[in-house]
Amino acid sequence: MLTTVMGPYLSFRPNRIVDGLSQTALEAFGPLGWLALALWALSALVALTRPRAWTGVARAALGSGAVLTLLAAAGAEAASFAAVQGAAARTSFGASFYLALLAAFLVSYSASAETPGRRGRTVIALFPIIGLVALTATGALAELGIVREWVLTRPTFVRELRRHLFYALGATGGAIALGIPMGVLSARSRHAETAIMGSLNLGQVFPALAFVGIMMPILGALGDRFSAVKALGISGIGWAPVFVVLLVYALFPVTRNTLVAIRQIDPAVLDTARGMGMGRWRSLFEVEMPLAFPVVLAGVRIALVQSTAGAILAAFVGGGGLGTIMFFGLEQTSMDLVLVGVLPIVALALVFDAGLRVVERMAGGSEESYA
Amino acid sequence: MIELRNVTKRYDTTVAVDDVTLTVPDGELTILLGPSGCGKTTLLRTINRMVELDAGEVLIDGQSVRSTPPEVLRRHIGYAIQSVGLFPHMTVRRNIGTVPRLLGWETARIEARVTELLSLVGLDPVAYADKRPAELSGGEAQRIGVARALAADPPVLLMDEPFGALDPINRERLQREFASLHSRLGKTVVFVTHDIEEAVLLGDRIVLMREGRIVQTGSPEELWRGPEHQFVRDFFGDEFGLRILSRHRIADLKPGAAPQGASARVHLDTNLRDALAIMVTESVERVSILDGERVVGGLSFCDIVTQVRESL
Repeated sequence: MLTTVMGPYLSFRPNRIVDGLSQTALEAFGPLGWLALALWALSALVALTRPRAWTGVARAALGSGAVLTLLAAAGAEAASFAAVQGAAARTSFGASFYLALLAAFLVSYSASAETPGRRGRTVIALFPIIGLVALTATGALAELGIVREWVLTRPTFVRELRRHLFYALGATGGAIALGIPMGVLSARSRHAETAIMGSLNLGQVFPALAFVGIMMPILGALGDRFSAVKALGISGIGWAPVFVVLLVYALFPVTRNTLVAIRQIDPAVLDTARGMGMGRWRSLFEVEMPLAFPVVLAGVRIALVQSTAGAILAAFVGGGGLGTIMFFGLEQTSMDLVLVGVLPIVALALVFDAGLRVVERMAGGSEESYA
Repeated sequence: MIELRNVTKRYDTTVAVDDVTLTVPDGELTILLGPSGCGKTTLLRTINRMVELDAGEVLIDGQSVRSTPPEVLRRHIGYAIQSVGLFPHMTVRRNIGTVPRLLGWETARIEARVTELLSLVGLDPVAYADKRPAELSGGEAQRIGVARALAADPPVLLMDEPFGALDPINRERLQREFASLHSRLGKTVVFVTHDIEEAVLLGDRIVLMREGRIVQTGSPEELWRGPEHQFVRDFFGDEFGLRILSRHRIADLKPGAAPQGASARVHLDTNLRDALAIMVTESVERVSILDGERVVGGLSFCDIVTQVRESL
């Protein structure tokens, strides 16, 4: 807790390249830093009291409040630094800020765990989101390094985000279209299972980047040989190899969960379905798929989250995506720019994960994921 | 009428059903009875083609079951099994309506049929139609299972130990309800069980099987009076006679003179086993028979023993 206000908190640099000056939160912000510390202390105090219905929410509010206070103060500092140094100035977060962020997350997480009822947990999750939106909307953060980088890269950002979504959603969509039939087939026949799950397992073992490397000459050759393939934009570089690799990775959870879900259906249910005169297809669509649905959906969720993270790969082979922004950042040793690429990926993955979990719960599935 | 002619089914090296010939008359409840692994379930499943034959043929009303595609055939044969196999994702209503839906009935007709069937198996249609299988007790689920098997009013009903998973009290209640249901509906029922008591209580005819073959076929009384094989005697055991008694009521016997003075009383509807139990409990050899409140005669221990052997 103390480190969050005592360690290097902000670094001020006249421009991206030169080394900057690090300050702790207390040095940098004075009174606001002390306020954050006070909020932390209060939060810790609440944590020591006997848990009651409201204590979780209170702790989370105080913890989030502390970090938001630090954030607002950082925004103000950055603004005054920029006023002196001009547009090239960069105010970046130091290690302590990330520690504070982690601490706030842990506080919220444990607070959420001790809060009974869904409403309280939703409120806890909303604190940081609302706070962040409010700070952004008031322009309080506009001069922070990460925001400045984001503004500068915005045209590319939108394009790369779109590409990134194309990879993630496309690979998952393909995995649904191919993986569910493959899972059904595997559940029906041991031979199919051996062949399908065997090759998918093999695909999982390949390191992703090596896999892309293998796909490049194969797809390149295909593109050179068949003009129709080339016309689709498939060649050794660009989107195709990455897409194929992501698809293969995404196939695994979808196929496996479909297989497992169908296998675990009570045999008596399948026996009566048959015994009452359902054909194979009818039994599949009226009985097996509805019963398998929650588990299949869990597989889709895993595939989507995995593809969202995996699409960074595309940047390696000129396929675009948010990874491109991240690599720009690495090349220019600008952590702010790296974050502009990485944070949306994390956010997307979290949103997809949470969204599909909600759908799963509505579909009556368990929380298990079979991953 | 169901006819099985020289039916044989092999699995790898074992012969599950070995050259079985059997006729199941219309409207009767025929029990396939025997120790586990005797082939009774396999034999049952040849009738709706859940098991395909290696040799022989199965005819329903003179027509080979092979002349109809299995899915179509099965929609006209009721099917209920021990683990019930209700569809967990469907309401009771949809479960019961499965076969009518497959047959393309109109919604209103299905709805009416579901209501009718729930009442028939003793469940309140309003309270149960929208429940899910997970909300049902074992006995309720099995009632729904029977209702579902009866849904499209099939002339033939196949049941594989339908009450086997229930506790003794529920099992007996459902057995009695099913016996009266059967006498009202007059379906042709083929019923697999390994429970001797159930077989003797429910069966119009018992087909006793061992190692894929039929040992003896007949009414429980015929098997009791004239076992053709030591296995029959051994399988049913010493209690066979008592179990036969539970199939018959006082009203089935010729009454004798009423005993003089105060005595134990039994009603005309009492089954003979219970009447015997009353004699033992009260330490009397003779009881009065009541029809309503009126004494209509008497019955002695000897009457029961001799008449059961000779005339039932």
